[in-house]
Amino acid sequence: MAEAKSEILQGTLDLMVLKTLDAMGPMHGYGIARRIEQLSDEALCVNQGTIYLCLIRLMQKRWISAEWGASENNRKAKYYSITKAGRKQLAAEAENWERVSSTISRLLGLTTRS
Amino acid sequence: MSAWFWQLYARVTAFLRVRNLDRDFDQELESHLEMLAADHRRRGMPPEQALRAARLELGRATQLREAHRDVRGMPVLSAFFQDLQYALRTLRKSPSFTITALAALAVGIGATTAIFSIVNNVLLKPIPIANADRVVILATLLRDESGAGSLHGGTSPAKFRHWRDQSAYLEDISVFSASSEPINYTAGAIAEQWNASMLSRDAYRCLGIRIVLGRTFTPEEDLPDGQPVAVISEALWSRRFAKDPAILGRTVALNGAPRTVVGIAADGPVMQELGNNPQVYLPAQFDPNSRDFGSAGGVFSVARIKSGITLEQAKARLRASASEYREKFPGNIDSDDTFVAVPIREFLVGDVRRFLLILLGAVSLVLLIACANVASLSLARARSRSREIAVRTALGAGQSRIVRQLMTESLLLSLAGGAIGLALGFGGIRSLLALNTAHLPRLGGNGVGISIDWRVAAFTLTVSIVTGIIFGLSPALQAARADLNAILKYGSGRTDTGFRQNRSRAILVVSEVTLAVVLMVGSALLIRSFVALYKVDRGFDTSNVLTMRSLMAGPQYSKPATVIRATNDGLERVRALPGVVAVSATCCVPLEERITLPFEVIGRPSADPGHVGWRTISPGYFDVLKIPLKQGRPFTLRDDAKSPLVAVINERMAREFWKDGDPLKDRIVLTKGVLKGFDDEPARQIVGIVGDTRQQLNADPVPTMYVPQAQINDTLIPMIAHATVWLVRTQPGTHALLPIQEQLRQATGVPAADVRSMDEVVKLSTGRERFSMLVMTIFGGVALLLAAIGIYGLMAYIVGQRMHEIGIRVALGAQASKVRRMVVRQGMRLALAGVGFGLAAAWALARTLESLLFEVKSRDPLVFAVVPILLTAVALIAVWMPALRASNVDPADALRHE
Repeated sequence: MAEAKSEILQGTLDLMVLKTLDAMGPMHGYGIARRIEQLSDEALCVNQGTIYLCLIRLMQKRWISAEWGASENNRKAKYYSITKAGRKQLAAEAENWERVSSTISRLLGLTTRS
Repeated sequence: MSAWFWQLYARVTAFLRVRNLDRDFDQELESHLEMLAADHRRRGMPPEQALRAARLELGRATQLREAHRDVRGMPVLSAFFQDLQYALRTLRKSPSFTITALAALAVGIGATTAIFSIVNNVLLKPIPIANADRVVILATLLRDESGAGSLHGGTSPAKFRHWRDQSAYLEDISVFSASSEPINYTAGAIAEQWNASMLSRDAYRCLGIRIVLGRTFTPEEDLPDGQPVAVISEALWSRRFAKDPAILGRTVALNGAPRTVVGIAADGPVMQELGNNPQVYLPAQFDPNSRDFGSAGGVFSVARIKSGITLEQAKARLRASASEYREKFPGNIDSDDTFVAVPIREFLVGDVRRFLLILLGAVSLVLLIACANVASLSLARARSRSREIAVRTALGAGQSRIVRQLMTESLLLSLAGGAIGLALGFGGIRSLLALNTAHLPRLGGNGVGISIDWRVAAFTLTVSIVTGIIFGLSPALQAARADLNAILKYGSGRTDTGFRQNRSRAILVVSEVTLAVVLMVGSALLIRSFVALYKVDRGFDTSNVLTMRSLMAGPQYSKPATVIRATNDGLERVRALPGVVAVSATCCVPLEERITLPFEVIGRPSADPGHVGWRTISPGYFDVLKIPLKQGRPFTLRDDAKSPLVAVINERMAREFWKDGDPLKDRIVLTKGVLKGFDDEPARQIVGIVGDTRQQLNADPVPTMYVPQAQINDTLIPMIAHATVWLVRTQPGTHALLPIQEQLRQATGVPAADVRSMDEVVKLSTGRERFSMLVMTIFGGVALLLAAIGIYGLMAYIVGQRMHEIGIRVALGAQASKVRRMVVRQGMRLALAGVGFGLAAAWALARTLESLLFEVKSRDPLVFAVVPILLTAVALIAVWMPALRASNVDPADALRHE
């Protein structure tokens, strides 16, 4: 099962979390983890605990902020939302990602043709 | 990048609030778990299974928390604080180890700090003058027969006249008195004694004495017969005149003569370093055309080297100018004498470098012993803790983590020891210097000038850290390398028997004893030398003798006859007091002041005048000091200005200058043209010969001539009157001081102050010797104690480890005495090895102490015999206690403690 899912890089996870928060608005850690799993059709394996290491890093850089609030079924949960600096970082990272991924797909395309 | 900054900021703040954030994260995980479990339940899982599945998915909470903390905070620092906490806890758990180690470290570091603070103050602290390395003292280098030179700093007006002409390469050439003289201040009903120093006008600039208000002297005021002016110190200004600026321009009566106050001077730092604290500065008023060769004590010339000229160049040009001086004033300085420029630092510091380095060397040995002691203790402790460490290693602590932990412990110890030591050493040296300053320069009166500055603080910190590393590293490495398996299987320490496993501790103990022997030899040599100094035949009896001083100055003493009359009146009044055995007036306190002058024998070809000590005395001097009369007669009251002029000489003078012939048949006269006031001194008939007295306890008596105070010529009277010293011998047990002072005050009209007993004078004159003896004795004692603790600690430990084995031996029939002998032999082997090495080292090193010794050879056989005996005896006691315990072992008990 583990082999089927690719390990994701730290930077990628950061990008995914930022994008998720940007698109979905404030969410708690569990929600972010579920969302990423769903979006990737469970193909990417996020150990649910690791999401918190990613979140604290983003918090430290002030790309996201957090606030305690009540969850859907009225439980206490910590809600994360993206900040202005986070949006800027997301835009820069996304652009960077596009460039890298298009390069890589071109590279992969090349090798299959030969 | 700002993101980096925020990240660092977040980490630091998180580190400071670990506990809060941990709780926060726990809550977050909790809610995560609940939500996950709820989702599982929604999909139809039974509740318990849902929770378990959720836990599995989230991962282990402790690990997650740890990882979270590492990302969030500062893992290295947290580990350090953990180590620190752990170290504190373990140290508190073994108080006897902690206290012993702390005490040893505090003593070692404290002693080192104490000596270093002196070294810092004397040698390292900068001179408080701008560009101090360009300020030089101008002095005369006098050569004696052997060719060795001695520096003479005294400045006569004639010399100053010559030096003032050296302005091509020097500037601000000026004179100043390095000590101050009492001066009477009278204003109506008030009479006070102030301290006055004289300066020429440029000396303020040269010595960095700041003028707070007003001005210094004008060139005219600094000439002979210039306007009488004075500059007063800021301290006096605020104490006596309430900081009233109107004091400028007012006149004050000093020694009965009015002077105008023209300026207020801040207390000069250089003056303070000289131990001089003048309240009044008077213009030197040296005659620029002077031919006066007289130099009052403590008057020095100072100048600044002009920019663009090096010290060497200035020195060379000043040296070259000596020949011009000889041409200008023939016969004043000898042909091999020359002038030198001495940097003011050298002048202030003098010749104490070697002395201080010896002390620093000695104290570093003390520190080494303390280190060895603590290292030995730590080794023993590391061994008894090996099980604990093994468990920690087994649980996953890395080797580096173990070493780090143990090093944290030893550094904590050494820093705490250093902090205590800093307080201890500083307090100690302050109180030691308050007893006497050992004639050390730059310390101020009673050592108040000594202070903790950044250099001392940095030194102590460095010493503490290095000490911690020295005594901590090897035990830590040993502990971390230990064989886990063996320790966990067999328990700790059981396998140790002899020295093989304790070899490092044995080596430490042997080196402790070695160093202790070296220090004790040093202190024993200095004690011997000090005793010899006190036992040496001084030639006079100091017990029950009081000295005090009167300053007979002012208009009422303008005529010499009044000085003589007042002196005689004072002597008569004191002699009549009950309890007074004898009394005399003289020019100079024995052992403190001396005047040396050349003389000639009348009728003898004067090829080479001899130099002799010269002092004026009144009848009774020889009775007060119990100096025996050897030939002829002493002075009587009839030897006055009207009767034939006479002198008394001491035996050494008679022996040295009358190899054949009878001195009592000869007349002597002081050589003319040397000092202005002494030119009028007439020839005198020698009428008596008295016993030799020492002028310095550690130097042979010098040839000396005595002159009746009532017979000196009028030009010298004021000089003597300015510092009349009264010597009074009282009956033992009488307290006649107050009536004596009162009678002298009534006779002279001025106070008799500066009271000291002759025993105090002796004590002061031996200040340096007493200081080094005290310091070395303290060091030697500490070394002995530490070495004894070292031996005891090791032997007690070994006996403790061997309890089992000894129990078996006793059970098998070994006699108690045999067991005891076995332990004693083992311990004494170490002690004796240390004594042997120590004696060899001391034999090699004793030479360095030679310059501090008096009448004791550096390889004194008595010292080299007594020290090993003493140390062996102490070692025997230290070994005996554990041996006794070993021989009292109850086999059943020892074997039961399996």
